[in-house]
Amino acid sequence: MIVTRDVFHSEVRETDKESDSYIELSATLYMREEDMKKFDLGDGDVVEITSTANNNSLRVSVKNSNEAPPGKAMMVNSILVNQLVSIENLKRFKAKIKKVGGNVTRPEDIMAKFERK
Amino acid sequence: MVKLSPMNLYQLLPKTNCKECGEQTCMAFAFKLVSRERELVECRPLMEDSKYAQQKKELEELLKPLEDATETGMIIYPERCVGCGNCVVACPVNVSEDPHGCAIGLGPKNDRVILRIVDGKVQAYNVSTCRRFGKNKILCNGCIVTCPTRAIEFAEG
Amino acid sequence: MICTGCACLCDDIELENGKVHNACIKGVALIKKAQNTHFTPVADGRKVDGEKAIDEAITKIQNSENFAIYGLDTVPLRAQQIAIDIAKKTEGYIDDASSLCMGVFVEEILLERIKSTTLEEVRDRADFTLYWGADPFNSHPRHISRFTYYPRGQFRQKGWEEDRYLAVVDIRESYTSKLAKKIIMVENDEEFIQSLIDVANGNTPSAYLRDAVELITRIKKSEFGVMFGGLGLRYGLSDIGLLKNLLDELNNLTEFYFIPMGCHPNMRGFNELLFASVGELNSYSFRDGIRDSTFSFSSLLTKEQIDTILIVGADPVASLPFEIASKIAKANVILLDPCPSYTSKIADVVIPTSVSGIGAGGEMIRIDGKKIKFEAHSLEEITDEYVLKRIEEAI
Repeated sequence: MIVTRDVFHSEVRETDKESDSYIELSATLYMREEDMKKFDLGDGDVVEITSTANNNSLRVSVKNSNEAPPGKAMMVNSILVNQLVSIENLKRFKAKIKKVGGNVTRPEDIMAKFERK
Repeated sequence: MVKLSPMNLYQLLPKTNCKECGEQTCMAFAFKLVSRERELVECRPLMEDSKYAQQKKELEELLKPLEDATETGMIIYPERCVGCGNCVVACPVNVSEDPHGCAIGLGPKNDRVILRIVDGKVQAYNVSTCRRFGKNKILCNGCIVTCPTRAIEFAEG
Repeated sequence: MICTGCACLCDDIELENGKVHNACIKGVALIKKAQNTHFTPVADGRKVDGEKAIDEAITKIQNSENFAIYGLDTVPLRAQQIAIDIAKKTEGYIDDASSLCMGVFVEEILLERIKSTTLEEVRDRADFTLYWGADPFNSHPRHISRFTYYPRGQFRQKGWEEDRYLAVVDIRESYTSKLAKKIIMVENDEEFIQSLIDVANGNTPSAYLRDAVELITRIKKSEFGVMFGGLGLRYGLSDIGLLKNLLDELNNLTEFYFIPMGCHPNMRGFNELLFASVGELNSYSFRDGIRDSTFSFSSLLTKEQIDTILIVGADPVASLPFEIASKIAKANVILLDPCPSYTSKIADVVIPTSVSGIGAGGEMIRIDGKKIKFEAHSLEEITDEYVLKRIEEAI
């Protein structure tokens, strides 16, 4: 998987980090059509991604995009994908995906896991 | 998303070449829909025969952006525009009218330019100076090929 | 007016009847947010007035034994300098986002081991531009139209079709690559760098033969070339020396420069100020008097080595990997920021400050090293500089 930037995401990040469109753009896994077929995935399917870097998981919605790298999947840099990356490489990591259905992970699900003093 | 083009309109028309509209073929009618010399309501079979109801709906949808198109047929899709200014800087009219602004990558320094960015979205002005305006137009594509999100399209392609 | 939405620092922004002219959507969002956000100061869960919040921040810093300052990349130089002074007085740690992004590149440039140039020079002279591991259409939306490809320049009068060549090296087809005359999709950045070095030396590379030859031929034909390195290049490189070798080779072929694609408006400013103070760019410990990767903000958090953190204009809770970000809340957190964020949700003290360029004037150093001056547009909120000065005087 690779981590990228998206100007529409940056726009809503400035406007409202808790808006539906921020969450939608953050919780999307972009893939090329041919790669979606390989995994038997369609637009809007919810998958669970588990990072091999740290075993953390996220639920995200799949979307077809020609800007995704062939043979890989892409997510926009946000609090969500930062669940899965390691400090050694913030841009690329390996992950397993599984079709699960249900709702996507929301930022508040992550905030709930924060350690407090 | 289906692109607004004569071919895509033709695919949705009855394709019977009935000539009721006065054109020889449905294809010719499709071309004139795009150049706005004809209106969709002039296709009577489409309007009256219920078996075309779905196609009629799709055609109306497809033609909707033309209502807001400029006289040159320019259609702006603001939801796709990021305000990068590529079109503003590449437009040959903007370059010649505004050598100290748009030509060198800055926002417009006068009111003679065709394209400018307002609230992050491209807007068209002074349409009559666009190279696609009027009888002796040329199919300049300076603002289209510089936009990777296709925020600007011309009905004639 | 200036826009501090990204490292372009666009200075042709105009406000008229509530409308923002010339800025991209990212800039418009920042400028409108600055006008509409209502963000209240907080101290230990209670809403307080700004001065109270500052007093509470001072108390926490005074009681701290292991204190760190982080962020600073979106505030003007004077505020950054005061933050450095606070770190010095408290014998604390100081770091910014550059330790995770463009710091390695900026360091080579400041030490004059890599030749760099300004964006205006690029506009006026460049006939070969290469974006490597960067997608400016999404990260710096006006970069391509203001500086690299579409504008006319003093020696580039004929427009992009004739006068300029744009190439993109990336792992994917981006919106930027769709505009380019050449896209090279690479899986392994170092391998492609080696191929370019081989071809420049007249040797046959072991991979990417055609693409490397085409690019080198183009560079030979050009008069002024520039490479913009983004995060893709940063994380594709384990050895900066390889990039330096390539740039040296390219300079044997033509005049060739490198500019990092940093995102934050004043990251280079922080790097230069700290460099002028202590000879280092980031990850600095005033207690130890040295810079070390173990003093980077992320390393300090990993080792739970800090008890109090002053965060200025950053949202590390959202931007750092979870394993590290989740430790932030274990320390006392003081946040200075113009708007609510994920970090503000966990901060003990929140002090809302103005957006640079709108409520705060000053100077920033653009990513290419050019100093940009700007005035405040309105003066409604307190500035980072004011808050930091209060802290600095009290401790």
